[in-house]
Amino acid sequence: MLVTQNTRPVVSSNFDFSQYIKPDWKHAKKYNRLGKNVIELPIDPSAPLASAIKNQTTGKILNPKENSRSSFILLNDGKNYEAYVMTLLADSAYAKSNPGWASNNTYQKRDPAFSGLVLYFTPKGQYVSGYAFKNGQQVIPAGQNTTTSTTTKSQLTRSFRPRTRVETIYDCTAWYLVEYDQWGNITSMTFLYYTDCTPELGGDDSGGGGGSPSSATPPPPQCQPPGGGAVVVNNGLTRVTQPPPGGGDGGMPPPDPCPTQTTVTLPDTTGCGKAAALSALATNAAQAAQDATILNNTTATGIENGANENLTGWPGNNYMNTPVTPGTAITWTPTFTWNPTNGYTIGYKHGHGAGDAPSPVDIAAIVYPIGNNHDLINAGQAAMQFYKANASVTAETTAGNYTVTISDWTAIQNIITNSFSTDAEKLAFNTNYQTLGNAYFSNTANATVGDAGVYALMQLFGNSITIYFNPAGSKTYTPLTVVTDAGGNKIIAVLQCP
Amino acid sequence: MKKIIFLISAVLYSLASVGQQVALNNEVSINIPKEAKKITKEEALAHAGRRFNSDKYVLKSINDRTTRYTYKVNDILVSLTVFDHMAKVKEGFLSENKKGLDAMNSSNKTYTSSLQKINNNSVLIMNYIAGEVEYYRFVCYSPDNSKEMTGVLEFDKIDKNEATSILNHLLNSIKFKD
Repeated sequence: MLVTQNTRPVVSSNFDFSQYIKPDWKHAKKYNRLGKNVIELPIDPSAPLASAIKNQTTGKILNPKENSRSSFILLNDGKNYEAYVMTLLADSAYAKSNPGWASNNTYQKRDPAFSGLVLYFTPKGQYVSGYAFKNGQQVIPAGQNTTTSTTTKSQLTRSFRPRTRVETIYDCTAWYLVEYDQWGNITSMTFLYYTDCTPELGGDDSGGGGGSPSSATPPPPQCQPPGGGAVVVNNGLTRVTQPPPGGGDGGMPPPDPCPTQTTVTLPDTTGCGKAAALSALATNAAQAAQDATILNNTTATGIENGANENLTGWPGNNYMNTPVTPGTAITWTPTFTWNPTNGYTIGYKHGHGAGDAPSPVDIAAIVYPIGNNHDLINAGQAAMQFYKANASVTAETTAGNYTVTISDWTAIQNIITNSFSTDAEKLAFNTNYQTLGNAYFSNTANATVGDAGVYALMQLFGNSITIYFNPAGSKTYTPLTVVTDAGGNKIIAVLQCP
Repeated sequence: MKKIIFLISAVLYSLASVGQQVALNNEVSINIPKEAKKITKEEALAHAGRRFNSDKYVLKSINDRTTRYTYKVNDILVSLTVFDHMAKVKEGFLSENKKGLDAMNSSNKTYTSSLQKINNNSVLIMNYIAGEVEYYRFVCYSPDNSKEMTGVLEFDKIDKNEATSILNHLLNSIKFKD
């Protein structure tokens, strides 16, 4: 994705890695470490990321952004996945004397002479934990008895007042992670942690130690309750004591999430996770029979047939046996319900006898309920989240099934609201879709109309959607993506999932 | 009657504008009208800016193209694309995809498409208006369905007759190597 400064998050918010960088699955390394299966993935070079650490008090950036490297770390203990972004920030002197430092320092293996920081984040950008090394030795943080304020944490840069009768003022050094895009523009600053908190005695404080990342020794993780914010104890605040880090096997110390954060959802930035779920559903006999009826009826009559995908309850994955109904030659109208009698609609599937992929209005049909279905809206936030996580629309063709899911609801709502609301907007949107699809078909070798439609949708909806394809006769859905061929043409390709 | 006029104009155009048979790659050649001037992508974009009032659809369409064969014939833009690496498609490939393209374009009332056999080549022709520009797009497969070339003509709708003549001239001159 082309990233511009205007599209990046605002300064001071968490940097949502999952929106801007993606794993390079082609160069995944798989191994077992510390009792967990590990997949280590570099950042896809099409959207590089550079980071630096900044002392907010002095404004000093402690490392050139070139001395940073991030990668995705997926850990699986046999039951749950944990996903992290590991960011390494090398001290300048170390990087200078070890030009190949980045390849010598991975999650699996740490250079015995490494000097710098190892920071772990959730894919959504929340700081998890970090470690400092100097000449290969871990730098143990000084005693950390600081407190912090739930409401002011993100604004503080220098001092704060605990909410106690004793109005002690602490001086702290606030450390931020600064993110740069591929053009070197600062795109976000994420608060990491405080160090060197001491009761204020007046005078200058240039806290934070010297001028290298390893001097910004990370404290223990700031564990937070599920609702966010720090844990409040007796009007003060507390932190969970950091257990001794691992890493004695020659690798990097592992991420040390808070007890309430030990399991995070695998970031499905590629769609591989959802593809597996769709493939599993394709093996369901009742669903497969319904798919066959939809396609047979559509091709035999020239009329689009379709069915609502309704669950008997939520959360859950028991599908109702919904009827296959006819539409017209060019449309099939879904019926959304969110009640125990008619079921909980999480998607639609319908036949496209002419072989074309889902259309823009098909995608809009799964977005509309979040704004106009009162049963869903009144069911509360959990129901809404469940719907958003599971909504899909499928076009069934003789070549195979195309399924679209929503990857970014904020983005797609913006697209629908700003570009697909009025009749004039819909006309313009469809013209754009058709023009892009026609151009793809006539500019690409051996193009199919299915791929032409997929290309047009990807151009118009960007990363707000993910499109999957399950070829006829198969039960395996794979995400589709756009790649550039040797001639510089953008073409649709299947993403190989691990 | 309209068809007859188009045919006559196509014949007259062909007689008057016999150009040069140009090899686009090792597999296919085509006769480029003598009035055609080869232009760069930048020149094509500049022309679209002037002639098509910077229509956003045509600007994107030109910008996304990677072909080396872009020409200007009076006010009509002609882009031709050939492929060095491609697979043989099955018989009926164009016919099947025509159905899908017709469905995809069903909301555009100006859209028409046709399948033709020209010199034993299979040709799918699409014609439609998007924004301020009218398009002819064609996809042409060799008789054995192993080679493909495509093209697009972008023009103001008042230049339709001339564009039709150029299209016919081009399609009648496509030669695939055996």
